[in-house]
Amino acid sequence: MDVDIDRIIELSRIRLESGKEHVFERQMKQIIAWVEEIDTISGTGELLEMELPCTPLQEDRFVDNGLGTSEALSNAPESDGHFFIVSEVIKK
Amino acid sequence: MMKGIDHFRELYKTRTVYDVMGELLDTIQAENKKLNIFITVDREKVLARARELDNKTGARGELFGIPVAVKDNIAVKDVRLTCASRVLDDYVSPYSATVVDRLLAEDAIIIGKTNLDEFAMGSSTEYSAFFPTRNPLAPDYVPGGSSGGSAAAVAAGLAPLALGSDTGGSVRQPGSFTGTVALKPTYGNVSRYGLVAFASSLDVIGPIASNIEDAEMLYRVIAGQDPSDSTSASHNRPTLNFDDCTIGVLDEKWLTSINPVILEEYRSLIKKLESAGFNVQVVQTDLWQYALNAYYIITSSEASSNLARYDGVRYGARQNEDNLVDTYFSTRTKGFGDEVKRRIFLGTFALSAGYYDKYYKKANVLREMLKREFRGNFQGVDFILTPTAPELPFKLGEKVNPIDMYMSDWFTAPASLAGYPAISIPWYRDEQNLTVGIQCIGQTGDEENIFILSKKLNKIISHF
Repeated sequence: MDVDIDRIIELSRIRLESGKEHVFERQMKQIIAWVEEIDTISGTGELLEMELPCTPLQEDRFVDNGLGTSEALSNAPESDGHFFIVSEVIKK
Repeated sequence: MMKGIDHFRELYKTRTVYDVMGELLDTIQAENKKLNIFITVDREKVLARARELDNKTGARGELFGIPVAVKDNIAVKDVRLTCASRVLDDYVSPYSATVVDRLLAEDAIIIGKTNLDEFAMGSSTEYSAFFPTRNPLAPDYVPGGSSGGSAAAVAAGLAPLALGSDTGGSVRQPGSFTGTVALKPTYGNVSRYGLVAFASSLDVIGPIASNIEDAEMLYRVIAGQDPSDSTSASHNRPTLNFDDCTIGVLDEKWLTSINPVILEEYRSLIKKLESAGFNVQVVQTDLWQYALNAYYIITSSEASSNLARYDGVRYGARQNEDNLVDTYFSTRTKGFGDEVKRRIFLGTFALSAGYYDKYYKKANVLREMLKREFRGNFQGVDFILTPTAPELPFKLGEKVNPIDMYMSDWFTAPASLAGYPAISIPWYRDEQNLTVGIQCIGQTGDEENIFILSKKLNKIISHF
């Protein structure tokens, strides 16, 4: 299976560190080849067409007020006391 | 070396909690230098809590003064929560997990936060970004993972109780490697509120203790429905009639590549079960050979989504660049270790356009087929008994190929995928002090029955 590593890098927002690219690519190909073994299972046809049961969830209930502003910002790398400050989002 | 709840209750007959905790903290400081069990121990907070308990009037909680070690992916308010990752190195939790609140309500003391594989991804605790933990029973060997620090804390006698988290075996396998009792509860029976998410449809917080009774007590304190966790429930099966109990065992054709000593011990245990009056029956586990493949696709996919939040915006070790997207890239590239990156890559790949049906959807089909196979087995048996791990503990640095590490979960992943409860109890120890546990899998809500069976099994197991 050919793996488009550049596409995965773009989607995951993680780069490969210099010097590690080849090792990582080789490991990823080995892992993908290994998990691909589920392709050999028979008897999946009908189930592939079905809506499979999901994790059962309770109805949402309002439990408490959650974190206040100062608590929510307490671990912020940068903030002005009201908002998280980040690098430029839209170029002028 | 290991100490149970009773040890501390005995001490408190004549000594203060402050005194006992002071001594314990000194021991932890000394042992941690050798074994690297704890990431964070806050001496002042522990002693303040001890003083608070000594001054308490009125009824005492069930875990009064009992120190509990907590895996560092479970939130404790105002205490560092790192998940053993550089990306959360300085993160301090603004709230406590529900399980922690329940422990504190019973007057327990959170003694420290234990080491783990980064973001709970691993089977040896070697993937921690800070340091690997050593097995207290054999320090050149791993304690298992990802809850290796918690299991080691109990095995080293530094805490009678510990909390870990189990997604594919991360409480049971370290229990197996350290000679401790370790339970993965039914999915949903213990609140995940305050547990840092790895794979949300499999993650479960589980108790680790030096004996079955203590594990049971810890489970009772932390279990129960929680409105803060929309996946939580209280599944409870009625008590079984153990006079007519059938135990399922594995067909030996699936055991050809496990450690031959473990296979021999398994054969011997089956004979002992039959002599003790249990009905024993081979169960069908044809789909278990694919369980790990499906497990890694599903958990990596869920992890790639759950770990998308670590972008350096609201928390975490941000690596500033001149634009937001590059900030994401730099933060995540520098903040995550190699195994976390591998799993995010695998999950991203499995969920991406063109591959979703072939990998993620098919893995979920396998998961449903596995649940049906289990339900079929439980028509004829009450429990399924397997070794917890296919191997004895391995040496630090021994496993370099990621897939070799994944194989540690061969016996534990199936119950995780199905959501069933499973316990590991101490079973076999060799002359080098290397241990393996025996795993007992029950049906949804079978925790009470699992504890009863475990106590009966303990009387039959003679090696430990």
